Amino acid sequence: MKISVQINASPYQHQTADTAWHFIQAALVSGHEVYRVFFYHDGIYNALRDSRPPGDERDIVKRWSELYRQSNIDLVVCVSSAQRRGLLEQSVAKKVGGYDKALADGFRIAGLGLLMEAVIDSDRHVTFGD
Amino acid sequence: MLFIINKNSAVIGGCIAKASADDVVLLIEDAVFAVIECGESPVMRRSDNNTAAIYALSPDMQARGVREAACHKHIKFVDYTGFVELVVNHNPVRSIF
Repeated sequence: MKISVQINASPYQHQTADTAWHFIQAALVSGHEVYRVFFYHDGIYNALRDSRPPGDERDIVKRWSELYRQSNIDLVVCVSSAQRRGLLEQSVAKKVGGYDKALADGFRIAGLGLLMEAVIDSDRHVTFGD
Repeated sequence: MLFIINKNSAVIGGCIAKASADDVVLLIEDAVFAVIECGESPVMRRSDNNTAAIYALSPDMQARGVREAACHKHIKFVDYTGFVELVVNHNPVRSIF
């Protein structure tokens, strides 16, 4: 079955990112396809490259990047949510003189159209938030 | 329909009251506190009606020290694999925050 996931909350503040990550792992182990993870609202903070949690803590951002490397799951960050919070795509950052290396490996920035596409094209869409 | 609730709030009671017998309610994160057997729990009130099945996510119960033995008898328990199965077997899936 084709499953998409939406994440609406920031990591560390809430359990959301952990719950979603464990759900995705279980879905993959069960043989399902995770088509896309869409990071919306404060969920965009899951994609901050410079996140540096203490060494003895789980690294949520790195965990997403590893998920992409291992499973090639499409990790999409909402462009308007990201820009409101100062997370800029490289081309936009260069245009406005902003920081252009904010996005962690494996993520891409795109519009809500990809959220709609995920909802339409997937058999199930599960939203995690707070 | 599968309802996913992640807070121990009045939302749980409202959802259970409105859910039909074909629906399923999954309690995750802090919502698992609602499965503890006590007189005021909306999960307790559910036992008087033939309404939706109620599940709780076991890893979240364990993380919060909620023991299965302390839970209402109608509660069913799932791990993340069971969570995925509930999603697969029910459509649509609605998260309530």
